Amino acid sequence: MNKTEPVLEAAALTKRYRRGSLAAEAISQVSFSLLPGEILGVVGQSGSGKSTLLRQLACLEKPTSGRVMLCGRDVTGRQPRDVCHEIQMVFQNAQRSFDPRRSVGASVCEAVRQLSGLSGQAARERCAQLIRLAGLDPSAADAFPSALSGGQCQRFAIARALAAMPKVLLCDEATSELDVSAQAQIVGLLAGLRDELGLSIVFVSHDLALVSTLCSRILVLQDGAVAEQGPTQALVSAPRSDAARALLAAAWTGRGPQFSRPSVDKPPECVL
Amino acid sequence: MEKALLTTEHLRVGYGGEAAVHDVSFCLRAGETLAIAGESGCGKTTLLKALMGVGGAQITGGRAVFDGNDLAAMRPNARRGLAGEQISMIFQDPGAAFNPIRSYDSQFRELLRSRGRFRGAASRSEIRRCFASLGLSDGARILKSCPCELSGGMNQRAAVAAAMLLGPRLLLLDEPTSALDVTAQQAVVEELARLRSLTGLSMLLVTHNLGLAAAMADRTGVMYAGRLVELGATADVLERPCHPYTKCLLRAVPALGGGLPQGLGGSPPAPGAPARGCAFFARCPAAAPGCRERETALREISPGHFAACAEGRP
Amino acid sequence: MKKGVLSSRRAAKRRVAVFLALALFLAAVSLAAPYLVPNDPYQTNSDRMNAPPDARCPFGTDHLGRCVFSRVLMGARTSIFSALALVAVSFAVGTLLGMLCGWYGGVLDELVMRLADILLAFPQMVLAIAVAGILGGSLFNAMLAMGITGWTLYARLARSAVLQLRQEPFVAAARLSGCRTGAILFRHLLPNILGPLVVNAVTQIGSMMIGIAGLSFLGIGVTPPAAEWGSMISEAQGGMQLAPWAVLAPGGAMVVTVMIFNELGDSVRDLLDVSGQ
Repeated sequence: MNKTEPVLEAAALTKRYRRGSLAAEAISQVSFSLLPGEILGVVGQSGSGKSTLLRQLACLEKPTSGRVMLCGRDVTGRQPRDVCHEIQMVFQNAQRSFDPRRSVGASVCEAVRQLSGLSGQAARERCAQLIRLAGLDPSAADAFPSALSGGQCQRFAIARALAAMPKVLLCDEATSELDVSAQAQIVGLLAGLRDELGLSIVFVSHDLALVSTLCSRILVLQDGAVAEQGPTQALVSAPRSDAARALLAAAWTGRGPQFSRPSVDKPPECVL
Repeated sequence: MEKALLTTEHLRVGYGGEAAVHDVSFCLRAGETLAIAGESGCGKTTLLKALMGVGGAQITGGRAVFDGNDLAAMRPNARRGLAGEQISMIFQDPGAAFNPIRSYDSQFRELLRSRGRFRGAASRSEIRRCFASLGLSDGARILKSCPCELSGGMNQRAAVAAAMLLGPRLLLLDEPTSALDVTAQQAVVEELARLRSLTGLSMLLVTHNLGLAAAMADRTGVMYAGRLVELGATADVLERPCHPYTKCLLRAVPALGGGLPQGLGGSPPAPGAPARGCAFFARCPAAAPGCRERETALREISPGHFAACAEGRP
Repeated sequence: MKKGVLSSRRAAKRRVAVFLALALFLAAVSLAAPYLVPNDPYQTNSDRMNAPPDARCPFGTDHLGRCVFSRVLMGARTSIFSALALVAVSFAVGTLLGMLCGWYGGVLDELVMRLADILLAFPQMVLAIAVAGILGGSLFNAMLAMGITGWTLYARLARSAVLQLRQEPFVAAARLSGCRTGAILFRHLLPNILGPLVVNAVTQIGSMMIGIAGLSFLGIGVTPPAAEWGSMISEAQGGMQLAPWAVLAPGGAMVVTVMIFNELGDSVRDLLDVSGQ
């Protein structure tokens, strides 16, 4: 596959929700492109449309207007079944992304059987291989989602997503419910998968500091529209939009052993 | 030296037979904010629940003394009287403390009535004043709304206002910002700072977010597997950490524009597993062969700065 | 806290086991009824009409000299199995319709739910009497009459459960795993909504039994000389002062059977409540 051709493209994506006579635009005219092996960060406050955007990209919903191009193919309005071999998703609440009545291993195996066409022993071996790729021991796979920690569940979710060997992985606030060390582990895993497998990732979060460490480009959403997009360093050092400035001002950052908030507005209060 | 408002000595806390907290000792002075940081499962939430007397968490050993009263020795009625009036708690889930479909106004009035403190119109204006002083400018609109109509950040701020209604002296906060996005987090932190300067409130804050501890706390403690492994002034603990675990936690915090955060390998031990010697041995990057049986009591490394182990120092 | 939950879970399981065993015992007895009856339940005997209970006929005889005990046993077969069959069919049809309504929504949802509303606007027994009256008396028609409204309960429950679970991330994850709609509905959603549906089904067995017996009592269900508890009560009630056992035996049997199935339903619900904690 050509390295300079985008693996995922969104063109003027808009999604309007209707309830009776009321209509609300959740995302409006969002456009971006994702290159192979790139990690794109999507940041914004709650309600800025980040999750809606991902649902349109994964074909879980049909956009009101605009186009989604996956590996050069127009997949706008198709079903998840049609795109599941190229694009996969990891959700915010890892435990709720598994069927509560099945063990996580059973869920991963089901995905392997359906997405790779293997069955029986071959499927079980592939399942164990994927679980190891996600940094876990296959023996933990007999547990039910409610018995696992958030970080472990999220790793199993990543293993399941990799069953299709997708080109693009969408992460919908995948680390927002994890504590700081589990978050670092997952982020490290994602970076590792990008290096090993050439996976492209769209990483959605409200934490700009986290996104700036993982992603090479950042897209800032505000009220459903793109406020700003560009390379990480440029956006972090010289934000052009109010939304980016507000997110920067709220970011808890640790620069080495020192904790400070970047002086975008007023200097932080001295509480020591 | 000011008299301590809350002191714990070798506190043990558990649910029924299982102990989640093995040995925690600290003292919190009036007007001070102490943060306790650690990963999920280290027992910090259980500690708060036991101090508040909720959620089935019980003090099974050691002492916890609030304003001269031994919490474990108090009768349940007296303990219940303490909770809400002297000690208040904020939970992680902003929606958990309120009925989602009743307006805040009616719920606040019920709160006051349950303690016999509702005085009609005087209380209504008191509530509105409370809101205004906390930076919630559209207090009237919030009071008329139900929790399900407002955002998580707004609900958490209303929860803080509710906690302050009865004028407590100690506020317990269990991961108050973890369920919120960063801008809502900032708003809640500002509200709490305003609260502190208005009332001289003491706060015991539990979080996995070290940035929150840096922004709010005078002193910070780090907890692992039910024990405090480091305790000291926030600047000391976060800038000159002694314990390897503190150092690892700090490395896991993402720095704006910096490199990838470094996670710790493995996972914390299951709650309840009694640890002899150092519980962090299995995951410690600075572990030496003799560390497994090492003493884990807090030692004073420098004035006011305690740690169970000083191997994390450069 | 954990210990408390475990012990109440064990107690709930024990309760379910006890009542399930009783219910299965009743079902087994009624299945084996033709082989267990001491006398022919349809054999009339003009010598022994309205005879009190004795060694040959443990529950006495009715106004036609038939052994009441034998008729009660045969009646068990009719009552229990017709109720079980009726509930099974209502459950299957109602759950399927409800799940489809919840998943697809739209026109199907509107049609089915409005139909359910219309049917539920009538008092259940009044509608059943009307239907059975029109179709004529027979066990099948009585079952049909009761079943006309019976499915709506499951349809509504299943629909609201599916509407709720549809939003959960694991359904989106299943769609992205390549699952077809059928697989999602039956492999992922159905096991997760089954609990309250099963509880309602077991509890409904008792009321269906009473309903069919009621229709038979009124003469528009099972017709004599078939042995069925409701029609037995109807036939014998006129001579109740002469032969109270002919009314009390089928009535008592009905009470005991319905109680056992109701308790079974309650204990299953309690078990699900406890394990849901």
